[in-house]
Parts: sequence; C-alpha cells; structure tokens
Amino acid sequence: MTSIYLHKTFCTLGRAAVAIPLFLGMALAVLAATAGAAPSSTAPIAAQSGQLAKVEVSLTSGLSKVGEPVAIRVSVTQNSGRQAGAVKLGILPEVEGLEFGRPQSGGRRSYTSQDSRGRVVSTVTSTYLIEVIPSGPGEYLIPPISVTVGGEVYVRPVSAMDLRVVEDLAASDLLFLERADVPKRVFEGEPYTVELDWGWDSALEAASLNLRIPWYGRQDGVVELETPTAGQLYDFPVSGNQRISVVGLPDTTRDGRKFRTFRLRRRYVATRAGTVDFSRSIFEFTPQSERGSRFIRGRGRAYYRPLDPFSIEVVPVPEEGRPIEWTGAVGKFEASREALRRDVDAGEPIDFELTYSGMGNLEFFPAPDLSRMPAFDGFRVLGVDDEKGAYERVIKYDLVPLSASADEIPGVPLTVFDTESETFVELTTEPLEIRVRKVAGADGPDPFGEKVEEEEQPPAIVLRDIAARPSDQGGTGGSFFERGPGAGSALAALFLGLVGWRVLRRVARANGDPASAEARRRRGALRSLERGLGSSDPKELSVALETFLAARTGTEPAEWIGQGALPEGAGMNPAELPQELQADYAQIRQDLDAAIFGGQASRTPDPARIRSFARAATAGGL
Amino acid sequence: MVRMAWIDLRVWLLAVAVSLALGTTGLAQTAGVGAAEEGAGEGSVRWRAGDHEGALQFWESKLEGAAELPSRERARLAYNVGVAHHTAGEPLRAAAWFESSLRLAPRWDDAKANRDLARADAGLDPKDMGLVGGFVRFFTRGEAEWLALLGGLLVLLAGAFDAFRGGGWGRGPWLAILLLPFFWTPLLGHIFQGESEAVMVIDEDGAALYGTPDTGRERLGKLNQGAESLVLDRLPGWVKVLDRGEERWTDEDSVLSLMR
Repeated sequence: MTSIYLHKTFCTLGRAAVAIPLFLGMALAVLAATAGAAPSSTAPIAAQSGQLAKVEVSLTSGLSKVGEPVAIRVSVTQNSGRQAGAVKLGILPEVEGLEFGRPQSGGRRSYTSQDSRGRVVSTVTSTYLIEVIPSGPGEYLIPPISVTVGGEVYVRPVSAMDLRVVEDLAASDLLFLERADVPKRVFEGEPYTVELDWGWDSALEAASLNLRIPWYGRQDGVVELETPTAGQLYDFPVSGNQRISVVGLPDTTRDGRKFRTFRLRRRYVATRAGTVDFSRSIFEFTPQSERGSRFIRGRGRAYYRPLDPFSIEVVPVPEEGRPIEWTGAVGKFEASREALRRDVDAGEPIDFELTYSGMGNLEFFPAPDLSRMPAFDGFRVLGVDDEKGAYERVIKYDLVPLSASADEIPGVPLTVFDTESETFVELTTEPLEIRVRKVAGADGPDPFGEKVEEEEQPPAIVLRDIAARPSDQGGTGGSFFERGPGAGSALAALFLGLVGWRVLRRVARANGDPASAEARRRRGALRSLERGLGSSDPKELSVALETFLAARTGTEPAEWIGQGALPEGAGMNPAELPQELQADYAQIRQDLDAAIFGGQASRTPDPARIRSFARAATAGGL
Repeated sequence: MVRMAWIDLRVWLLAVAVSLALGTTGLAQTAGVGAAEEGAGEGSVRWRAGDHEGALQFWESKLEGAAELPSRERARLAYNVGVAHHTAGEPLRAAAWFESSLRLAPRWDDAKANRDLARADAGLDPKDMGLVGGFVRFFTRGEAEWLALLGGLLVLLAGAFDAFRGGGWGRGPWLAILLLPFFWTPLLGHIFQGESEAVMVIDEDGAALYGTPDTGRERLGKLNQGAESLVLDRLPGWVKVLDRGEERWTDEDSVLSLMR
C-alpha cells in the first residue's frame, strides 16, 4: 500500500525535476510511517491492488473552530466499465464528545473518462459527506469506518482520523451570542421564555449571516406560545435555509466596541414531563472582505460564536393535594376585579371584569363559570367575553343582579398550582360592593324566569310508524317511472340522439350555415320590423319594410326603394306567394310612396297593416 | 226430568258464554277497525288493533308471490314487516327488511330512517355505499332507464339546436355528451349489479360458510352479521353465496333475501 501511495504522489506531481527531491522527502516520510509514526488522518488511502474500487475516507478539515462545519468525506471510485457495485456505509463509531449526522442518501456522483492508449476508460466517483458535530473544543480521534462496495468491505483510513477543535478566539472579539436565564425546572403547563441575544461588531459589513439553532421547532412535547414583541422586526437567516422573525435592538457597547444586536424571544409551554434539550447554538458571521472594489469583493473568513447547550427539566403537576376545582391553571398569578358602574337598577347588567396577570398559562385554563357558583345565585350571567394575552387575561361578565337585596359581587375563586410554593392555592378576588336600586314592577319572580338547569337532550330517534295505506290508495304513492322503458330503449334513444344530431345537421346546413350573418338576419327580420313599426313617420316605416324584405330575401334594403311589386329572383319566388299578398304589398308601397314623395300624409299605411303583410309573407315562404 | 232440565240449563249457560265471548271479540275488532286510518289495508287494521303477530303474518303472506304488485306496494309491505320485527325486538332482521324495502323505493325517508335505527340497535355500522354506489341506488331500475333515455333525448335536442341555429349552440351536443355519464351511471350500475338476488346475514353469530351444502364438512369461514352477499344458487335449506370471490354455501335460516 505504501508503494502505491508513493506512486500516486509521484504521478500527481508529474515533473521529474520537482519529483526527485520530493520523492526523497516522501520516501523519508514513508520510512517514518513504517517505523510507527501515524500517517496524517486527512491523507487519502488508495484501494489495494486487485480490489474492485478505490475508497478514500478523510476529514474535510483536521483543524476546525467550534461551530465551523466539518465532515467526514467518503469517496468511492469505481471503474464504470465493469458493473458498479452498491456502496453501503458501515455503522459509525461512537466517539465521546462527537455526534455524527446522517450520511447523504446516494451521495454525489461524478463521472470522468480518459483515453488510455486508444481505449476509453470511464470511472464513477461517489462522494458522501457525514457531518461531524463536536460538543466543544478538544482533540478527538475518529476510528476508521467500514465501507462495503459491491459486497467487499473496506476499512478506511488505516489509522484513526485526528480532529482538533479550537475556540474561535477572534470571533469572541467580533461576535457575541448569549442567552437570558431560563428556569432549570418547570411544571407541565408552565410557560417559560427562551431569549437569545447576538450581534457583531458594527464596524464590519456582513457578507453572510446564519444563526444555527438546531433545536428550534424540533422539540417534542413543547408548544410555542404567542410572544409579545416590541421593536423593529427582521427576518433573520436561521439554520441555513429558513428565516425567522427576530427583534432588532439598538446597538450595544461591549468592551468599547459597538455591536449590532438582535434578539430571539420565544415563549413555550411544555405539555409533558421530561427534558427539553437545547443543543449548541452557533452564530456564524462572514464579513465582507476589505480587498477588491466596491462591487467585486471576495468573502472573508467565517467567524463562529457558539452557545453551550442547555436543558430544562419538565416535571408533572403533582396529583397529591390536587383539588377537584383545579382546572389547569399553573403559574404565579394575581387576580383583580373591577366594575365600571356599580350603582344600577335591579335587572340592569353590570360589566364585571376579572383580570388575571402574572407568569403562567393564562391562555390555557377555562374562565371561571360564575353560573355554577352558589355565591352567584343572586345574579344571572348574560354573557362572557374572554380576552387572552401572554401576560394578562381579562374576562368580562355581563352580570345582572336579580334583586335589590344584592349589595356586593362576591369574590371569584380560582384554584392555581403555584409554581413557587409548588402547592395548589385558591386565588380569590375581593368582593366588590354594589348598590342595586329597586324599580317599580321589578318585584316578583326572576325577570328572566326560573333558572332551569338546561340539559341538552339528544333528539329522540324512534321507529317510524307503519305505512298503513296500500300504495294504490295513496299510501306511499305509485310512480309513473316505476316501470322503465327498458335499457334497449335508452340505448336506442342515445343512438337516435347521436345519429339524429348528425343527420339534422347535414339536412339543415344543406342551404348554408344557420349561424351566418345572413341567416341570422333572415330569422330576426320580423323582430327587426316590429322595432321599426314603432314610428308613424312614413319614411321610417318605409325603411323598416325595406329592411325586412331585404333580410328575408337576402338582398340589400336599397334594392327595395321604389320597388312597386315583389320581384322574382333574389332568393324568392313571388309566383308562389298568394295574389292577395302581392296586391297588398303593391298597395302598401304605393301608399308609402304617396306619403313620402307626394306629401299625402293621410295615406301613411297603418303599421298593423305592414305587420300583417310581413307575417303573411313570412308564413307564405318569403 | 230434573236431569234433563239441568242439561238444558248447562247448554243455555254455555250458549250465553259463547255469545258473550264472540260479542266481546267482535266489539274489539270493531274498535280496531275504527282506530285504523281510512283506506288502511287489512294488515294495518290488525296492527292498529294490537294484533301484531297477525299483521306480520298477513304482510308476509301478501309478499309471498307478490311479483305482480307494484314495487311501491311491495316496498310498503316489506317496510311494515320491518317495523313489526323491530317492534318484536329483532332489529337485525328488521334492518334486512328495511333494506329490501329501500331496494324497491330507494328514496323513502321513513324506510331509510328505520333502517339506520335498526342497524344501530343491532350494533351495525351505518350503511355507507360510497358516492357512486349511493348515486346508483338513488334510483330504481325503471327510473334509471328513464334517466338514460333522457340523456339520449338531450343529445338529440342539443343536436337539433346545433343543426338549426349553429354558432354557440354547437357546444350543446358536446356538453350533453359530457353529461352522459351522469345520465347513464345509474342504469349501468343496475345492469352490472344485475337482477340477481342478494341476501343479508341476520344471524347474530354470523353465517357459517361451507364448501359444500353439508354441515358435516369443514367450516370455511363466516359472513358477519349484517353482511350482504349475492345469491348464486339455492338448495332446500341452503344458499350459495359469494364470499370474497369464493363460492360458499350457508344455512338458509341465517340469511334473509333482500329481493321482494
């Protein structure tokens, strides 16, 4: 294997002048290695001769800063001339302080071809990257890993890979990432807030930013709550490919440097007991390079600022001592009450407000039901308006005192699991003094009627009665459609429909397209005439008649001016029209001409006469 | 002499007693007739008079060989039989009768409601025939034939408009053709379902299945209560049914025909 390695190195260099001293140097190195020195972990190890594939396993970097991405690269090169074997990565070793990501499925493939003495030799290289996540600074030894190619097992590299992870000291000056204190332990249902602040030296211009928070949105048994925010919101790049809304804070000064500062604040509530883990968060920052022009600048080196992992233990609310009245309120609350108007007439509603504030699951417990409390028997609750906020909850009741004897609104109890004392406490508001004035007619029973415990009864489903009358006597009714025409008839109708359509289409269109402008004009001639006959002006009547005749005969209206008789041709055969109709037309024409050109207005024909002629002519086949 | 008088007295007493008994029955019957709806059938009159058993027998006897009766009347009789069985505490059997009634009158709300109630009382799931199945079963065979006929006529009508008017009407026939699946699905559904008889399992323990009509042979499974199956053949006391594509024999008493 050593000789192969040397041969490969020599060929890679390729120049004899350079190769000889290097060859000597490498030979010394190999001698040292064979004498017991470990080879570099990043050095690729070629496949043994006679093996199907060349397998190389190495770290992308033997030295990395905390937070800097580092991975194991597995490269498998096979000759594509023979059947390429399947690649399977073995179980990754366990290394204290290191976690390994999942290998990329399928890897990345590249193909190369080269001419070898007139023969084309093609190779395919599959490359897999396995992310390495160090827990912190230190030196880590990663044992060789096994790779199976086409059923043959390769263990690479021959010796353990050495990974050294160091603090990014420069980053600690230029960046910061810190968190506010979180409780070490919370109860189920108790909200908690996670707050991260980060920033960078404001003198630097950012080329790229990334806040890596792998835990965000991936914690089981946790529900994110609405978090009140104040300040300018920004979409900040998170975990490489997503953006989340964060708050931009005013620049802060640390050790004499000004920092651009952002804050991520989220409220959560744990829904089950266990541990909520927050893995290492890293703020990654790459400044713009100072070199190059304003428009063509390279990227500088990346800086990484890590935040150590932390966790919160979630414990269940104890069963012991849990009162029946407890409805799930957890936290440290304060309760207050208020009524805008406390001097009312009997039967008038009071706007009674209960306010709960403090740290707790204010959104998650039901509002106290006053109608179930005996102390409120003298009141009627007409409505409840519940406004839930992150730190305050206001419940408004429309309370109606039922009699003038009511002189206070009793205190409203709420059982809360106090997370400080870790006991169940009853939080009761102070009674609120009111005055109810008696009004005339208000004496007597409850104006809203007797308070009845309303129980929802499901609608009764009972067996329906028999049908007593035979169907021929209208019992259940007979049906014309009871006996069908037969499937054959239906099929025949379908056949008739399809064939009839084509036949009708052919027959109807023998004389032209029925949708043509001329055909539509002919069909609409009578309607058009009706519109024209609305006038008593002989000229307009004449135009209407001429338009009608032109439409029906496929001619132009002008051809009918002064036409004293129905002519032959032009799509019509006057000989087939009754003689009376011809005479009628001649008379109408004469009257119109006399009225228009002779000034004899009295001879203007009655529109009804023209209409009658037009209908008769249409019916007669004009 | 005295002995003869005593015999005569006994005869008279017996006659009076018989008369009284007959009179009472007659009054009861008269009262029953009076309580039934006008035009009610004989079975309904018996039912209203409280003679549920008699009414059930009457309706069942009417249904025997009732092929000449209109399907609505057969549906009514089957429905009434279902009501009688449900009232008698046999919801599974009642569900089968309501189902057979619905096959004759598919949109009868009362039958549907009673079927659902009976199925629920028998511990069966609600009947779900799916969208297409429900659409097919929404119509009787006769109605489905009329609907298919209407589809053909619609094509003809739309074609006539296209032929004589043209223009935008030209789309009409194609639209009608596109609508043909709607018009033809019920009929095709009925044709594919065929007129073959179906049965429903009315035995609470299910219907045991055998390869041959012989209880001495190995049992090859069972149809659960409420399951429906096509009838392929019959032998005295036995019915050949289809179970997951396999032909099996089952006891005639554990199933009820849905064809009336």
